[in-house]
Amino acid sequence: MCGFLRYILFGSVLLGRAGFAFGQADASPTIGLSPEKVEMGAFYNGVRLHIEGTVPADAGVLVALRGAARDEVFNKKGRVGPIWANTDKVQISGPPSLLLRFSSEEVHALLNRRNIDAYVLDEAAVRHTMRIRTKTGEPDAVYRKLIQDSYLQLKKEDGNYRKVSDRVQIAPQGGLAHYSLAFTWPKTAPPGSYQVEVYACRNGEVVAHGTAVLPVVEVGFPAFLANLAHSHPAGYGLIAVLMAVFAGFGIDAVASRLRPRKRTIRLHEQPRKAVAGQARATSAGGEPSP
Amino acid sequence: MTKPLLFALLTLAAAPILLPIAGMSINVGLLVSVGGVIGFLSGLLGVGGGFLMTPILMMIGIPPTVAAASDTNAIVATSASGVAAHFRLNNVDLKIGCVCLIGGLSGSYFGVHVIKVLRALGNADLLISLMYVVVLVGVGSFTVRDSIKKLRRGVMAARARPPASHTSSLLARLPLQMDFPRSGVRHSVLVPFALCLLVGLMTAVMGVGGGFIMVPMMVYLLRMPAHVAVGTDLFQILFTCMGTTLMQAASNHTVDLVLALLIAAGSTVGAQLGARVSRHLRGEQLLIVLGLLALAVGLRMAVGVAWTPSNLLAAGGGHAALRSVTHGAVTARAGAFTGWYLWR
Repeated sequence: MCGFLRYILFGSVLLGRAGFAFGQADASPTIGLSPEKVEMGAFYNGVRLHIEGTVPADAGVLVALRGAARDEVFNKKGRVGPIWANTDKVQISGPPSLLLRFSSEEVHALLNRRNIDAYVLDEAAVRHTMRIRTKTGEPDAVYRKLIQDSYLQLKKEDGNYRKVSDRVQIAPQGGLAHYSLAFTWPKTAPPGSYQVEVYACRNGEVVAHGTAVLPVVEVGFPAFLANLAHSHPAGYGLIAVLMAVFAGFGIDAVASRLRPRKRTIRLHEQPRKAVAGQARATSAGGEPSP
Repeated sequence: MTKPLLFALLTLAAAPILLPIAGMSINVGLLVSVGGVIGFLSGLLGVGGGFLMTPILMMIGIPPTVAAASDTNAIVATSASGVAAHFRLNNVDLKIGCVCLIGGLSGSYFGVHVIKVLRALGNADLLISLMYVVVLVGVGSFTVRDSIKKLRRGVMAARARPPASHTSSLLARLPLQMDFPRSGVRHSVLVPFALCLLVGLMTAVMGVGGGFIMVPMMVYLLRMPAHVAVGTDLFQILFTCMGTTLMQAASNHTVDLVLALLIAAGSTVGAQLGARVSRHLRGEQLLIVLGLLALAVGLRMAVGVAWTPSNLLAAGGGHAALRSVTHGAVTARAGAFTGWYLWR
């Protein structure tokens, strides 16, 4: 009996601890996007994107926006005698096409190295995801580092890899914390679906993680043209050529109307044709026709 | 009435616009201005402007494949405007133009295959880059030197045709001799055809319209008057670029109509101004400007291939290529026709 009571007591303590733990479990962050979709219309020039929501109280916040990973092929330049030429083809796959990272404080203060690598949240982590193939196969360590450095430099110059600390604002809201972030979506980012990931961090660990999708789509006239170019390429090409020809001739017609007319003196003694021929040759600035 | 119109134009120029195929937003005024400057040179010198426009578009962030293909489309508008202006000035020799067109298109066809072979052999880019430097610096320096010499000799000497050389007498013995009255020359049809075949081949390999090579060739080898050479070259460029645009649109999906029309809006007006200014300049002066331009681009390329690049990787395609993959389209590089890879 005594033993039975001991089991009940032990069980209730365990349940109590579990209940305490469940009570402390961190809820997934909520994510609100404004606008919910980036629409690239005819006069699109990037948009101001607002991200806000709630995270567990006392947690640091890290927001990452990612583009899908894709294979990219680059020409690698190298010295050939006194000149630089494309000496190799490099295929890089794995890293996200776009990576924007915003945080409430320095990323290393929020997460430990293991988590940064696991969630691919800095350059060092991106390097680990990169699969590099050259003409001759897998590169050695030195060559690999050279390609990684060049790739990251290229991405940062394009504005597709960006990191900003202290941008995410946090304010207490009930038992939770309200976070908000505003930034300009890069206008060079192509249409596609982008992942918005919010990490609530505490003591170097991710305590809660939420995900949303940000669609970037072409709408209106640009969407119509892009679809036409891909669904009816020959027709699109013909339209492009005809519009260019008409534009050229149209501008010429306008220009010739705007051009001041020359006064001509009629010489009755000479045949009209010869006078016209002379005038034409003079206006052309070259030799008269033989 | 004028003020609201000016205000509307300025507002439009300052407005951003989305390029549907390039998939990026860019300032309208910037594109029109770039087109205007290149169009001016095109009308002035009878060059398509491709050898300047494509690198400039790439510098402002347009993906290389889209820049090259859309530039070709814009050249159609510019050269159409230039051809119309030169037609009125009676500066187009249709007879030589048609022969050149056939030769140029045949050369382009072979050039595309030459590129394939060069690529298979490897280091094609290096070979083509060096070809560029040699041709541009060679043609540029020869043109400038010769034109300055003629200018020094005076107007009458400049207008006189060069005396028939040993080469000329050899050419005169070729079959299929024909009069080209507008240019005032007599040649075997084979001469302009072969020259244009060679230039067409070179331009397809090097990826430009070829005006900067064609005009000096017409003047120095076919002995055509400089103004007629300019008009006739534009005539040939118009048709070559029409064909190239169609092929780029059909196979690579890289022609951005909005981009092309904005560049064309600037370049057609620029071409008209260029054609008008060209009437106030003598042929030799035009050739000096063309020669200096070719020299400048050639030297810039020479510096470009010798200078350590800021980044050892050069992007190859941008997201236009990705979009092509998404749509299951052919993703062959536009380089076969446009040689954009040279400029990176």
